[in-house]
Amino acid sequence: MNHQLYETWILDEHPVTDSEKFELETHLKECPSCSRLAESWGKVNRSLKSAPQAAAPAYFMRNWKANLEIRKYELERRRKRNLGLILGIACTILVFVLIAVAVPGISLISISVALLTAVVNLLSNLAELWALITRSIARVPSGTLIGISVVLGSWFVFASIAWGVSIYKLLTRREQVA
Amino acid sequence: MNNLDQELITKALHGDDDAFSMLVETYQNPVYNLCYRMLGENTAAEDAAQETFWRAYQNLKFYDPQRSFATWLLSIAAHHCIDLQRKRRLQIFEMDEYPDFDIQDTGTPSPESAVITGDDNRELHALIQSLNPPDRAAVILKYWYGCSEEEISEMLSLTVSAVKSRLHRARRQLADAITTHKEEQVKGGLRHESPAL
Repeated sequence: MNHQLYETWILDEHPVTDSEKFELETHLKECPSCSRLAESWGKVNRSLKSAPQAAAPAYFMRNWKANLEIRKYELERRRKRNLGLILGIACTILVFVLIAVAVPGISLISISVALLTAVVNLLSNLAELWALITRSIARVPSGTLIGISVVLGSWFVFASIAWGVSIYKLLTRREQVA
Repeated sequence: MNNLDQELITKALHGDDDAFSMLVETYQNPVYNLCYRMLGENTAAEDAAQETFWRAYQNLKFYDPQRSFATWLLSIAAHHCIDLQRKRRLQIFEMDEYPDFDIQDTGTPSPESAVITGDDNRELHALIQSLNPPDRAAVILKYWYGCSEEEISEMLSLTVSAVKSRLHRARRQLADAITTHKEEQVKGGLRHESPAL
C-alpha cells in the first residue's frame, strides 16, 4: 500500500478534495501506523499554533543602546588601525621606491634582490637550526628519550581527559539549562 | 512596510541612531522570539538578537525597501542562529529527560497544556530543539510568524521545494517524537503496574 501519499496528506497541510478526504479517513481506520502519525501530528500542530511568542527582556533596549556605543567605538578603532596599517605599508613601499630613485648606485631591482636574499638566508638558517636539534636528539641516550616521551605522552593523555571532561560538563550544563 | 518604518530607515541611513533604536524597539520581540526558539536559552537569544540588530545597523544601506523590513531582520536572525548552532553543535535531545511531556488532544486547557502554552513551555521547546537548525528555522518561521513557503525560501536562501521537504521532514520528526514518547509512557505505566498485578 502507498503510505507515502497519505503521509503527505497528513503532514503537508495540503488542501485535499472531498474524495481524497474520504480516502484518507478510510485509510486511517485500517492503518494503525498512519493513524498514529495523524494523531501525533495533530497534537504537535495544535501546540505549535497555540505557542506564544517569547518577549524580549525589559532591559533589551538599554543593552542595545549601550552595546551600540561600544560597537561603534570598536568599529571606529578597527577602521583607524586598518587605515594606519595600510598607510604604514604604503609609506614603507614609498620610502624604498624613493631610496631606489634618489640614492645613486641603488635601484629597485637591487633592493628586491637584497630582500629576497634576506628571506632565503633566514630560511636556510632555520633549516640548519632544525638539523642541529635533530642531531642533538640523536645523541641523547635512549633511556632519557623514553623518559621524555613518557612524560610528554602522560601530559598529552591528561590534557585530553581534562578537555573531554570539561566538554562533557559544559554539554551536561547546557542540557540542564535547556 | 509602513510609512513610519520607511521614515525611520531613511533617518537611520542619514546617521540618526535614535531612529534605528526605534526600529529595534518595534521589532525586538519578533527577533528575540526567533532567536529564543532557535537557540533554546534566554542569554544566548538576547546576544543573538543584539547581534542581529547590529548586523542590520551595519548593513542598512544594502536593505532593499521593496522587501518587508521584518522579513529582512528575521532573515538575518535566522542565518545568524543557524551559524551559531553549527558552530556549537548543540544537537542533544533525549525524550527521557522530559518525563512530563504530554500534549493534550482536546481544546480544553489542562495543567499540561497550560505549561505548553505558557512562557515556560519546556516540552514544546525541547521538541523544537531536537530538529536540526535549518529545519527548526523553517518550522519557527512557519508556525510563529505565519510565513509562506515562498517567504521562508527567500529568508533562508533555499528553494521552495527544499523548504517543503524540510518542513515535511520536521513534521514527521516531531510527530514520531510524540509517538515514541507515548509508547514509552505506556510501557513505563505497565512496568509500574506489574507489581500490583
